[in-house]
Amino acid sequence: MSITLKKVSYYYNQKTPSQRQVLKDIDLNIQKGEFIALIGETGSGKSTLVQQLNGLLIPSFGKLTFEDDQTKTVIYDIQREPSYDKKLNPVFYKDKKIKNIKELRKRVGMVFQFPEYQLFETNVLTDVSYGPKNFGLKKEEAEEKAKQALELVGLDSSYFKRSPFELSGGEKRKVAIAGIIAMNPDYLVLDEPTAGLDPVGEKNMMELFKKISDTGTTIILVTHNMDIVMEYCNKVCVVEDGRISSISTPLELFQNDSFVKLSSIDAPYFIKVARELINHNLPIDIKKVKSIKTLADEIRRVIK
Amino acid sequence: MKSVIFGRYSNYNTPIHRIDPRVKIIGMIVFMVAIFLPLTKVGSTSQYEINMSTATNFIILGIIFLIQLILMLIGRISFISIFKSMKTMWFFLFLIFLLNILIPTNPTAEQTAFNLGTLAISYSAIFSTAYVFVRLVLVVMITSVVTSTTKPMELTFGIEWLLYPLKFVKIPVHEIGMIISLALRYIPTLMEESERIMKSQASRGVDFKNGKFKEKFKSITSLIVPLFMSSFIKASDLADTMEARGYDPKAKRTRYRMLSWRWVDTLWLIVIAIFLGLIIAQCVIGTNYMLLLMNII
Repeated sequence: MSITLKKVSYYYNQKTPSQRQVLKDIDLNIQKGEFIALIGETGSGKSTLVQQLNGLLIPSFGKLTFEDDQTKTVIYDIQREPSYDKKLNPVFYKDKKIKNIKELRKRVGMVFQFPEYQLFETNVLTDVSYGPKNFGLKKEEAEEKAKQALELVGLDSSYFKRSPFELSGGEKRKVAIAGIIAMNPDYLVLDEPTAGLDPVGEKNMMELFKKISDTGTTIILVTHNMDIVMEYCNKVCVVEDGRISSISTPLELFQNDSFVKLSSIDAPYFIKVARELINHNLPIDIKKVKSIKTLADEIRRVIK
Repeated sequence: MKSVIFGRYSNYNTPIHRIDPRVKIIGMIVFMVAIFLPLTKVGSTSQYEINMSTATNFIILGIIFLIQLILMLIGRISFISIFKSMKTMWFFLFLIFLLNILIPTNPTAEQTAFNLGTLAISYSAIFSTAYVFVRLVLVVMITSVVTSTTKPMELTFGIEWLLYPLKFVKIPVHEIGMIISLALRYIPTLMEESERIMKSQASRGVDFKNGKFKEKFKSITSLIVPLFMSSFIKASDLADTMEARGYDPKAKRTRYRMLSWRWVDTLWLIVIAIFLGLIIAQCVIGTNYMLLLMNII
């Protein structure tokens, strides 16, 4: 089971003086069960890209397909019109209706940056069960899902009847994330979920996502924290100026020499330490440095 | 969502964009006066007089329409945005039409246009609805011309400058200006915020466009409550930062951007003054061309 974006282009402010192409012919395939990170500078188009995945933004041109074992569902397929207007801008299609958008949103759950602002119900349980109810579950079923989701994020039954507005920032965020998990999505898109959390909170949050990932949910994570990428993700995708410039495992990416020149992205700390040592003429083999422990081994070997 | 606010600033560089905001505000007021001047003589009973003044009114409104059309073309304002903002007014117009039918202004001199069941629809009801419609379109047009060719900040400075004389009667002009500019400044922020919240609620399965009334009501709640929460947080943050930077409404402030008057602005002001003069003259003389002729002789 996988989700595929093909030749997706997206223009902001179409047909106005400030028209800008944010995504340029993106091809991306995400397999089920992956824990994939999207990294890139601010404004490179990461957030725009992930919003295409559940139809919050619909591309100017492009195709999105879901593939099950047997079936293949085309969610949208917007062809580029071959003509151009007088100023050589591409001509856009006006009508971009998508038939099964609700189905798409049910399968791809999306957690925005600072999701705590989306809470509005009078108590935690109804807020979390709001999503499942919208997707057609009965009240009791929705609450059952909500309870499971809240348990998964680590909020026990003492929270159920409390107002979401009296919780702490971290707890609010957990409630908001539970609100998405309760919908049982196959894919979970997380847009900088750890922004503004303290290191302990960050660690707890990432452990939570790991737990969710272990249940078989595919996770797509937008982040600036390379230590997180290194520790949790099994695939990393670099977005540069609206294009995907590389897809690899985190280790391959960080060990790659050309990556260092990409100064906008910081490598994890142990890689940085290793590079600094190499710069100071210590003959460390960067290919062998895979974690803090292997770095220590390398240093020991070199010093001997 | 974006169609709610008509006439968002569009970044072109046209002669209209370059006019001083003060001139544009004055011009807008003059146009509005011209649009709303009652040219029909109040209480006139003769059918001939009513017919004459109705015709003149529509001719004058037509002239104003043409002038505004030219202004819109120069200022490169999209006509689509005006249609979009008219969309919300249909209900309003229908209500006015209904009221006009039910409340006859001049029962004795009414001429029936057609019968709707047992209701007789008079010409004057149709005409006064048409007036309201035409005037609304004209007002939307002229405000779009001003708001989409002037940066919001310039507009506030203009308003503040024009209100300056009120300072001598102890009206806090500067504070009013600050309030307006803060309000304008926060419109895009709130739009952005509401778009963000709508998106995150949409990914929880909310459909803001379709659905039954109860569902729609619920979906609006899911937008309004978070929007209020974040607005309160933003407002208190802003108050804190202003105080931390030593904001004092009583103190004299300097400007980063100054308004500069050019000779073209004087020219525009004269044109506006002539226009105002013509409109007032027409209003005084009205349809009484005999008076005009007598004056000339």
